[in-house]
Amino acid sequence: MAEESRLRNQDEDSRIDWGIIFSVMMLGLIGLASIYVAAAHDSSQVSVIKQVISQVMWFVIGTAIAVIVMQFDSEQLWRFAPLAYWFGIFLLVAVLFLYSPSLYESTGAKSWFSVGGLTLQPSEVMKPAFILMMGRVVTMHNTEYPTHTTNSDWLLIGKLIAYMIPVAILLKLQNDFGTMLVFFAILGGVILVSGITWRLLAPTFGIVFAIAGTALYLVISNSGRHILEAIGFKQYQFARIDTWLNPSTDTSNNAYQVWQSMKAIGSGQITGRGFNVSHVTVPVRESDMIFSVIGENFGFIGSAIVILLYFLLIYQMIRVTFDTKNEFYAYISTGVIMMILFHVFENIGMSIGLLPMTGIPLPFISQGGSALIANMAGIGLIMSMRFHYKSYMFSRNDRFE
Amino acid sequence: MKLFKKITANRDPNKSHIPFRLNFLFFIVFLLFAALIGQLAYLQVDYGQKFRTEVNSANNTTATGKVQRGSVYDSTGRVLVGNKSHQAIQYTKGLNVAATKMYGVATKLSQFLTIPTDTLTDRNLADYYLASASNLKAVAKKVKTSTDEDVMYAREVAYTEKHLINDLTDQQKKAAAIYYKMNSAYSLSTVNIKSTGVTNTELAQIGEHQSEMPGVKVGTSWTRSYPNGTDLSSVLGTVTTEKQGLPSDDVKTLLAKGYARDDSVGQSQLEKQYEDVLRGTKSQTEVKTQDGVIQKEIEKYGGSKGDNLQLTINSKFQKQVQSIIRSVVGSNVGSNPYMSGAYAVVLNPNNGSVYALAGVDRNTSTGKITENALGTINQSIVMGSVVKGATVMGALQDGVITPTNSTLTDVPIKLAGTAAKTSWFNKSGNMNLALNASTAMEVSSNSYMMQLAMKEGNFNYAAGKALTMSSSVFSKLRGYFNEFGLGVKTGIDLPGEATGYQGASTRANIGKALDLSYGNYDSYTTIQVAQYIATMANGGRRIAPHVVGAVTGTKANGKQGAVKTNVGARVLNTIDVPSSYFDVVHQGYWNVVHGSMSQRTGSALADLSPAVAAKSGTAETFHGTVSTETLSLATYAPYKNPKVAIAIVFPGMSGGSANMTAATQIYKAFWKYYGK
Repeated sequence: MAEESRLRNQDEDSRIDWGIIFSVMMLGLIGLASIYVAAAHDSSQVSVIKQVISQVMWFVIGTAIAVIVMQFDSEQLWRFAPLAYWFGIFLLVAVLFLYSPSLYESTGAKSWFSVGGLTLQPSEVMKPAFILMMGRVVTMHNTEYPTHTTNSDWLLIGKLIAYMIPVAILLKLQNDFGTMLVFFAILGGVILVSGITWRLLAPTFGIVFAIAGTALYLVISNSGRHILEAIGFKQYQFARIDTWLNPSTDTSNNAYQVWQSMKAIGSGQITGRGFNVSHVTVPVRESDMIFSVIGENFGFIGSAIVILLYFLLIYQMIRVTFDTKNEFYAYISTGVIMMILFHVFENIGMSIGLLPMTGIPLPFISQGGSALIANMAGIGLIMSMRFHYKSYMFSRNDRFE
Repeated sequence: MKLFKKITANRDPNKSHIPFRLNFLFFIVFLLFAALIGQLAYLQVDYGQKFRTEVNSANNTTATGKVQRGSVYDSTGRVLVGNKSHQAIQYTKGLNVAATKMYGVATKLSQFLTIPTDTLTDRNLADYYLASASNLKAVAKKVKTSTDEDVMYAREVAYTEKHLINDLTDQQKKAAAIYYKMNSAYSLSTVNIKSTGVTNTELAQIGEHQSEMPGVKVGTSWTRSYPNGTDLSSVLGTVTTEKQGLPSDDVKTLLAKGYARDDSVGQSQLEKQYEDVLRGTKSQTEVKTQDGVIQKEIEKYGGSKGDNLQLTINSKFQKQVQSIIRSVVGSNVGSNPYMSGAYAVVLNPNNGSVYALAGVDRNTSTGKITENALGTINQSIVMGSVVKGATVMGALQDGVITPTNSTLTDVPIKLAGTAAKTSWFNKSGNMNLALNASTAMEVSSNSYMMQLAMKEGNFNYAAGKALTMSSSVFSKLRGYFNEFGLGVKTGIDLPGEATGYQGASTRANIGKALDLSYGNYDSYTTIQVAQYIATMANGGRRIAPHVVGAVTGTKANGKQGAVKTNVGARVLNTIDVPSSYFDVVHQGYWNVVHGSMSQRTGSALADLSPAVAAKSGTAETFHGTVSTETLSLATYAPYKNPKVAIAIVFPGMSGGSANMTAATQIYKAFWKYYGK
């Protein structure tokens, strides 16, 4: 009896991925401290304590969602994927009509529902749903066509893009370019891991980089801008590129934000100025520009630790994927990794002048509920892998050994 | 790679692509994060020190403060322009101060301070009202929303102006006036919220609550004062008031020179001309700010009061000359209804120091007389025969006469197509005197001067002949006049000097060249006549007149301090001719007063001691259709070693000897003040 219970407990323990929980908790605590610093130095109608407590509350909700998601095994997730995808699409359509006017005023994006003071960004809900759907599509395809040929690979790419298009269009209508890039990143990651032959991948990624390079050239050159304006791009979108290329030349508006952030981070030097010290005011540093607080207060060492924590988190996600050897899950974890990777790289990158500005939060650290819930749901998906490892040992024929 | 082995062990590596692809993905993650770390190292380690320095310096800014303007003293040390100090309530704006914060300070300050609100516009009131975050929020709900902030704010202002500002209390209006002034300040600059009439109660209450109103402090402001009256105000000029701000014409230049928008700056005359001397050096305060809030102010440099000007003018003598001019005008005005004013300049011929600039304007239709000392430099008048000394000197230089051979006969000049032009004493041609250059000046022969002009124009005069000179004679005659300052700027240290008017100088006007030769064509200013006679008196050095004799510092007790710079003689040009030429002209001036001929024009001055030399002038002028005369006089004394040169002009007279009367009295006053 006792022996059996001990074994079961041990079993339970080994089904929980404590490494992932540790990384997320550390990031969350750093986030709370940073939000406290940002709130304490910026004048705002909402009190400092209230801001920190509301973030804690979002963590509690996020954890609950992660625990719920964790309960689903791969079979349930498999069935749930299309439902989640179409529900997400439904929300993205709905928000175009029921968006919060006040947030539209302040951000220019029709991306938020607002119910009784709480805001929800459906594109965040869409992220885990999209990841599930991608995983399902690839797994189904690979089962149907066990051997990769050029034709079957084209077909797979076509299927994936077909699911991407509605999301892309809806996000374009919302005017939320940054989030759209996250979906492209997820798509790119899934395509890479899906097993498509390098003969296709290499040229495809080559073309993507070529297009990106051309676009950049168009934006930088004057004649190129005329062409882009004719297609329908807006001035503020160019401004982001200008800011990125020359942060110190224009110290107003966009560039101001980046330049202030770079000054804050740079002035942190190696060891930082110390907790709760702020000599540089950075706009919206409680959310998108939160990394400026970390850089200023904890310096290079603190910033590097944060990046290492993300690295550790992603490492553990990959390890659990290897451990559990389930193809469907492999694509899910690829999607989650890409989501987190893109957020981290873009957010920190723009804070330190490496990338142009987009409104993308830093996972588990930035203030804001919707993004946190999406990320926690992603963590729930990963946690579910080891949690259900035994039960699917003997289930579907979708293991990748 | 242990993981990879574990998974791929005992397996066909081709069976699953996933492990390799996942590792590849992980490698990409590694690369991207490495890029982030690299850029962080670049920012924080390589450039960290630079960024920290920039951040620290951005928070230490230097603010400048106003200093007292320099004073103006007369030659004996009497204060002509001083500064009156007032306690002022000031506000120093921090960096990026939010409107709501200023709203709070303005509202608080309005409890203690009385300030006029009558000049406030509706817009000012609306701006104040909307500076409150809660008011703005409430109004924003009432108006149609817009993504364009400017459009939105315009709508909010319109709404507020229409519906809300009428309900503002008097105290809120005061707060609005205060807010308006605070809002007009630039970051880290100081504005006066109330600069005059601050009561002791206000000072006490504001002092007590100062800590609750960041940026508010009690300071000093200055206004210009004129303790010895405003007689010379037209020469002294004015400064802009704080309210006027910098003159709009020069605003960019002045801002670039470090002026604040509400600084006082010289606007006219001496205040403008000597702005750089008078303005002083602003105080410098290092302001430490954090997030726009001023933490600490450290005075780095206390600033220094502007330097003072000591004039060459003795204000008492100046006042007396002014009253002489005025009284002579007063006693002549009855018989001279078209008199348009009177001007006098008293100069030191040896160094250009101005002893007095006096003048009045008379409105010929209302008869109103106003003081206008500046009329001496900006009123251009046809002066008449005073210029004849320059005509003679020109002819000598041109070689058409020599000191020993200059005799010509005064005859009426009769040219084809025009009426005869004659000397005053020889209108009918019954007094055809043989004259040399000196005696021609003595009797003021117009004919002699016209003959000189025709000789200079290479025209052989014979009665009845058509005048066929080249029009280049105009520039020739004027060239000689210019050497003495007639028809050119004299270089006086006051802005707004006129050059006079030149009459038309084409072939068609060639007859006018003859009028030019005896001063009846071009017009000149009184100061030009003074410079001309001074140049003659000192033997050919044309010196720029100056009213400022020295720049002086300030003693610790605020009195005038030691001389920093002396303004010496600035010689503009010298007339380099044999002294015998000057002897001829000097003899002429002497003869005008002391000569033996009955027709001499300056006998009225013969009794003056020391003896004077002079040349009078009478120009024929018109007031509408009525013929008038301009009476002028250029004179210096003593005849040997001249100490003073005087120019006097009375335009719009009908005969009389006002010029002589004025000269006599000015000479007497001069010797009384300056000694013989």
